[in-house]
Amino acid sequence: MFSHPTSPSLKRRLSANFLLCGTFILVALLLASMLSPAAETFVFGPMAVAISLVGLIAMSIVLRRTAGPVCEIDTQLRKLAETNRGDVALDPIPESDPISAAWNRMQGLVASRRSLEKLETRINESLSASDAGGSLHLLDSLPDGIAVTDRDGTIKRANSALRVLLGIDTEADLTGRKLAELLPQHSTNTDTEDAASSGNGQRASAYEIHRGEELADGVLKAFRYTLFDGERESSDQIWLIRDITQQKLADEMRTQFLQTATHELRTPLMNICAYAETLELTDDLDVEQQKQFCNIINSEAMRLSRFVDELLDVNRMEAGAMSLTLHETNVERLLQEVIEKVRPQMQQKKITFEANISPKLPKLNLDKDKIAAALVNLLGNAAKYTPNEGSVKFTVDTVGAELEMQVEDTGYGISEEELPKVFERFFRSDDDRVREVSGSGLGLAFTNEVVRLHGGRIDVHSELNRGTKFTLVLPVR
Amino acid sequence: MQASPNRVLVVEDSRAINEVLSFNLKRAGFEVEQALNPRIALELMEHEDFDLISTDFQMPEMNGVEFIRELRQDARFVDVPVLLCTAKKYEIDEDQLMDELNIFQCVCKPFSPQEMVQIVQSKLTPAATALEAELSP
Repeated sequence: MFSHPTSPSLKRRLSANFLLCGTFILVALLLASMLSPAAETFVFGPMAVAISLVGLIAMSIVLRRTAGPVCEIDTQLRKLAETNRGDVALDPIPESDPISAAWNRMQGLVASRRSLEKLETRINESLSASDAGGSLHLLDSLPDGIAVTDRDGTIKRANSALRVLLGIDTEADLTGRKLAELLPQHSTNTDTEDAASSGNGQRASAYEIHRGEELADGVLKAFRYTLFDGERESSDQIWLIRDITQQKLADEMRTQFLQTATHELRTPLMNICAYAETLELTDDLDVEQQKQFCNIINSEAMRLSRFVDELLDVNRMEAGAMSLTLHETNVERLLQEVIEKVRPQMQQKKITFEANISPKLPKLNLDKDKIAAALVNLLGNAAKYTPNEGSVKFTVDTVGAELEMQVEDTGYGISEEELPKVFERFFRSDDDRVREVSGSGLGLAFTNEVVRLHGGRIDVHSELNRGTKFTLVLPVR
Repeated sequence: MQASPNRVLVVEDSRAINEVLSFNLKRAGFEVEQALNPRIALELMEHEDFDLISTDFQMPEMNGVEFIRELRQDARFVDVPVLLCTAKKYEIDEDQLMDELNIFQCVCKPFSPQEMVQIVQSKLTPAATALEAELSP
């Protein structure tokens, strides 16, 4: 409709057509009067012309009245089309007919819509201004470090958790500093320089940053995302930096556990399967041999069952669900039971086992079964990790308001580096002599937890190749 | 009995496993010696000839791989067939070890003693197994 904006306006076209029609009528009348033979045409000819002129003038007035609003609309629409922009204001026109009324209604709608849009823009502007402060506040409440950098890794904004994670004064202004320079420099599997820069044009990436050789020194995980400005991708990057040390340690422990568990499960399983198969396939076994094979299957099954029990205990420990059932306990009787349990183990290895139990021990409120299991663990370990013909000493006495129980052996001992780890779950020494003996790495963790729940404590002293001394202390209430 | 090679040395630190493997091998007609660790095995090999050695991987002092490595350095034992039993298959690079140390088979615990007997048989009496294969459809 407005494809020819240069064509004359409706008003001009109407006037041109009107003038053309008027001139045609006048000329027609003049010609008619001139050609007419009658004498009266000389009188009526000019009159007819005058009347038609008056008629034409009257018609032009009527036409102007009726076509006026349409011409006005035409003018405004042409203006709109010429500018090619949507922001030309439409004006109301004098209301004289349905067309002008309809135009005014439409103009009113467009105008109110436009003012709404303006209002919306202003609201958004003021909102995003206040959001800057609000979101910073929000970011500061997060435990993860957050930084916004440009493509080169220069920090534009950072939250306070980032400063804490990177060990920087919480008040320090990080704006303008390079993120890569602030990240820990010891990095085993990722180049930090690379990590904190553009990220090779990818929209998102993740890096692992190590604080030192050991996992326990600390591990950070950095996630980089390209920031979006509304719907457009901007050159800014948002960094989320999280301390994942605990998670990594737990993963390592799980791997270690799986290795231990696999070995601990496979060896007895191997024996059970092998002996059961042999029993089944061999028809001429004598009774003695059959008995021997069954005994082995039985003891290996017990070994599996113990391992499963230990796993369950640890599971309970982990869930914080291990609870004590306390009863007034005759400590002497408890200790005798424990000693009887471990004696065969000592005898098997020809270990000199010496038990010095004070004759006057108080009765204590204990979870008898758990304390017994804890002591069997300590004495069992002493037997397991002491070479044949060594010695184990078990001493129990009251010292002040405490009951002190010591297990001292002349075994392989524990190295200085490994000593702090002995109470960790699934910890197993790297010493080949220890590796050779089956063990889940759960016994001491369990013992430690049982003693802790009783309000006691456990200490260990050891010297490699000389022996180990565990001291278990329980309060006398 | 034909004069086929039939002397087997079982090196395994778990007495129970060593016993049951030896028991089954003996019943299959092999002559078996037991060693509870590689040191004892090396000593036995000084005085006796073996046609096949089966060794555990995880043992104190010297593990199975170290043991085989030491064997292979001795010209007398370069070609003796070795079978490696392990509970830690995931920890060792089986293919690389088999090539490097000329191990003819790795078996993963828990395995059946009968399975082991068959492996030993197929190695030491190839003619018999070939004949069996020929006869079975």
